[in-house]
Amino acid sequence: MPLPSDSTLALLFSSLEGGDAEAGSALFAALYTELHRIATRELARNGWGVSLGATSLLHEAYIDLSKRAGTAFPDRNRFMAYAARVMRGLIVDYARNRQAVKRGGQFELTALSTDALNVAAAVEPEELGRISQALDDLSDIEPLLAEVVDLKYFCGFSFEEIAAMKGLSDRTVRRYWVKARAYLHASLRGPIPPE
Amino acid sequence: MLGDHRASWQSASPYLDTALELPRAERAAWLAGIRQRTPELADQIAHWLARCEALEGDDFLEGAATIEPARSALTGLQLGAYRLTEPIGHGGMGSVWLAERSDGRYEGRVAVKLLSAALVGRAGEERFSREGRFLAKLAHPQIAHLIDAGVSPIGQPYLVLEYVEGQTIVAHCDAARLGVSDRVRLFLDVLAPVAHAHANLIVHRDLKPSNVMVTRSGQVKLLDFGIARLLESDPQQPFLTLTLDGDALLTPAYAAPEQVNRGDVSTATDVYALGVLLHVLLTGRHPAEQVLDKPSELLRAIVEDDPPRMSDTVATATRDGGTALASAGVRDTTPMRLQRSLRGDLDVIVATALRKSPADRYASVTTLADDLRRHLARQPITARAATTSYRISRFVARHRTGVAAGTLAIVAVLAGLVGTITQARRAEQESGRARQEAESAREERDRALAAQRIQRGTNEFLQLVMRDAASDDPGALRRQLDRTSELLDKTEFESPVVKIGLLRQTAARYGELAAWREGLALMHKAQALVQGPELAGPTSAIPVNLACSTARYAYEMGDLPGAMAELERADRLMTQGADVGVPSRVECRLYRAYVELALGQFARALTTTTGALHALEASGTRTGEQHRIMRSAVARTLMSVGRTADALAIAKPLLVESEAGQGRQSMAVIRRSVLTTMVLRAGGQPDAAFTLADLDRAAVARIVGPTRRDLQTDLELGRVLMAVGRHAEAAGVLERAVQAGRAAGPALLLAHTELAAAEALVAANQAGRAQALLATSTVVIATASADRPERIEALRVRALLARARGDTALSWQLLDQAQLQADANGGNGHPSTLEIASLRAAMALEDRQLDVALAACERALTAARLWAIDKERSSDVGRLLSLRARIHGALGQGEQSDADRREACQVSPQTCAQHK
Repeated sequence: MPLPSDSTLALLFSSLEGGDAEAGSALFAALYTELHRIATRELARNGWGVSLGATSLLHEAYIDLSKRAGTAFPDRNRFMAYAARVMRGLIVDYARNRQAVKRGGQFELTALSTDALNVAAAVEPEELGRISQALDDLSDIEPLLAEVVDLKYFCGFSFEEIAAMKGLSDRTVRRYWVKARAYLHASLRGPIPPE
Repeated sequence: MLGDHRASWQSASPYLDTALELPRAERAAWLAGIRQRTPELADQIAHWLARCEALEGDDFLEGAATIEPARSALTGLQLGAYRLTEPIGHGGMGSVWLAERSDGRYEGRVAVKLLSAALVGRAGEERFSREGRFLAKLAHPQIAHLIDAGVSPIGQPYLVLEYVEGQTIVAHCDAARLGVSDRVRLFLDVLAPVAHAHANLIVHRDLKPSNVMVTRSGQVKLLDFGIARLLESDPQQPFLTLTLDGDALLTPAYAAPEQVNRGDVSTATDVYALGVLLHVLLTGRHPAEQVLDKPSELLRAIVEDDPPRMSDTVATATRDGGTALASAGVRDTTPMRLQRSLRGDLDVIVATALRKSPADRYASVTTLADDLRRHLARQPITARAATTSYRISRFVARHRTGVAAGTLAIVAVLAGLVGTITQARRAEQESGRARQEAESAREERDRALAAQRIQRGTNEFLQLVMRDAASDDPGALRRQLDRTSELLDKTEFESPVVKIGLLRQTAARYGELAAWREGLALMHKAQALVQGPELAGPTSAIPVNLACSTARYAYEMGDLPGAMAELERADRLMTQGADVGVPSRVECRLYRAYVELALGQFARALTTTTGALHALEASGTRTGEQHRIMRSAVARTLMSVGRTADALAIAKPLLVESEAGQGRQSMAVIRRSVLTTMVLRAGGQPDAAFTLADLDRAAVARIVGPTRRDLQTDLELGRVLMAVGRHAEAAGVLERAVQAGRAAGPALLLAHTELAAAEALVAANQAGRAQALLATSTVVIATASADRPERIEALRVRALLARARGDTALSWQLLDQAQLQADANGGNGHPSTLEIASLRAAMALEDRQLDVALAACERALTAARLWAIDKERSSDVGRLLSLRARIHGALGQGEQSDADRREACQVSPQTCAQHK
């Protein structure tokens, strides 16, 4: 896929916000390419390998793109909202590729545990795929809930960061998270077994 | 599958927003409101809400997805002077590597903690550098120290730390099969570095077995200050606190309630985690063992549930399937011994560390360490006193709101009925209220629940108050009671029923300590709360029961007419239809018997007690405490009419029985012992009586404290001492008893004690003191009617005194009056007759009125034989036979005199020896 020009990206953003639904998939593709390029670059730069956090990747991408596109580029918050969905796609694909291609053992996908239990729960690529599918489903009926999951789980943003980004209260973001989790859990796991 | 719940979600989703904002406790009620209008929707909401709640604490979608390089890629990475050799851990912050020095200057291995690149530039980096700063600050031999720190070529910070080779403290203790004391000693080693950190205002926040290692040389090392925080020092605060900054880092199994609630974290947070650690070390079980594998349950339990007493848990299997035997085995003991060594101090210490509110825990790690050291040195620990008042305040807090429904059942419970529900229902039917079946089923359940709650509450309350009473601190019960009644005064209860119950129970405990004045005050408070148709209505048992109990207190205060009035009122209410069960009726009879005894109506009292015992047995009760109390009362009344052998046949087995159950630890057992003593003494066997009285003296000191006295025990001891001829000792005991009794004591008993003291003083040749004592005697004697037992006794003692002071005429005059009254109230069966007649005989002999002397002596002898448990073995009979021998001698009837003397020797060897 050819690299879109920087002005194209800015244009796609404004078209999308202007109500052009077609622009959505084009923007997704463009951003995907961009994030993949930056991820490859970062991993190559540190030849011996280092874990690549989604957040730092997104920051990197934003700085890269906004520098090149100038003032027409959307602000950071709006950018993240779009990019989060793209990031999810990237991560799911990496996980699948790793399975299919085993690219030199270069990538390893783990959930970065924050519960200090010293147990990093490894997430199966199939599971990631199912989560992504259920999220798309949720996105149809409650896009905001899906977005919170993208930002939190796939991009690693904290509740506070998400709240600031979306102009919501911390409490509301946490409630959305609880709801979304319940929905996704139902999609993935089915009914709760009686205790 | 996906489509199934989508529709349900769409209808429920907006409601979920509302529900999730409600406190958990209110959600059910809110949902019930919706259910009334649209049950189907309510079901859907309930389904989703349940899922939200079930997921709380679950690790579903916890953390964040990230792209990581294969870990092996880091092997061989050069960081400063160190080369990573193998990964040894992987955590939330990054990975931990074993590393060695590449320049060969330093042989030892180190641990390198590498921050995940994903966290670089974010909160993680700050946290990481904080750990470095803390470790640099915390130079302590028992904290794994910081060797170096730096930043990798790609900007990843790392820490080089001392590598601790060893086992976790739990694994170490189990492998070494350390016993409880050794574990406590090792645990003290954990407290030292934590205290050091706290002194530097650093709270660890993540104390758990995997962070507490024991090296091969046996040294404890504290690891991982990864989420430690610096505290703000605020002189206004008892604890150093910090407000949690949104990060949810915690290890649920070792998290304190305030961590779960995202409240202020303080040094007390570490105290809590240490409490959990100590619990695990000592028992092999987590305080919330039952729910440890259910995260959401665990979090709830941490915040809400009081953990069971530690020692109670060691009999159960461990979570990982270990048996009680196995977990005791690695402690080099048996489950039963383990339980014993944990019970008491260690239970209290762990419970104090695990309090929900930080302010209720040990104020510092140092105070926790102090208590553990005191425990090891077998000194009293400080947490105990605090524990009891804490328990009481928790109890009152829980019962503050009281019980709203089911008053009839509550009435029944307070009446002490067994068949609570049936009683309540019958009462309801009799009052002719027809009810829908469904409604009554629900009400029945409500009543049962309410009844259960009160029953549980009052039982718990009793245990609460009694728990420390029998233990090492003798005056503890009394202090507990004072604190409790103070607390009851200050607390507003929504339902008066609960408060009435508590007042009554507390009064009863005062009663056990013979603190009747305090008890009566509480009873009056309880009576004042009986208002309204449900509590004070015609079928209510509450006024009856309160009246009867109050009668008991009035009686003990010496107000016999007042007591009788309460009892008559109770009788009247029962005749008018108050629904009172057999046990309560029996209790009322018991109090009536007491009053009758005090009034000198001995035969009537005997009828009352035997009638009550029959009623009790007819209702099927032939065992239990009330049955024992009634047997005791029958024995007492049998004795009062001189049937000492019958009395002893009941009293002695009763004492053996009670002692077997409770030991000589409660006043109830002491009372039975005193009763037996009394029967033995009155029945002419003072030596046997003395053995018991001596035991009672020691037991009472243990129970009421060395500074307080129990009048009844002292009075009996004094009388027994008199009976065995140890007059001076008797006078000492009785004089001290009078002193204590005048400060606070039951009036009637005090009057009897004063008389006994005066008699002992006269016998000990201290007539002056006796005179002074009687001159300041209580009003009861002066105001009581002339036929009352204490009035008759007073006449006899005053006669003794007058005689001792040389006033023969007055002495005879008083004695004649006494004889007259005793004859009018039972004759030979009257408890005073024997002593009056024997005194008359002795005085007449001295005055050379030999005919009078002989007649009086015969009279006394008849009474003594009547009262003797065994006519052939009685010190009273023996003593009087000796007296008669002297009278016969004075009359010149040598043969009869010799015969009397021989008989006296047979009946009472002691008396015989004294004469020789």
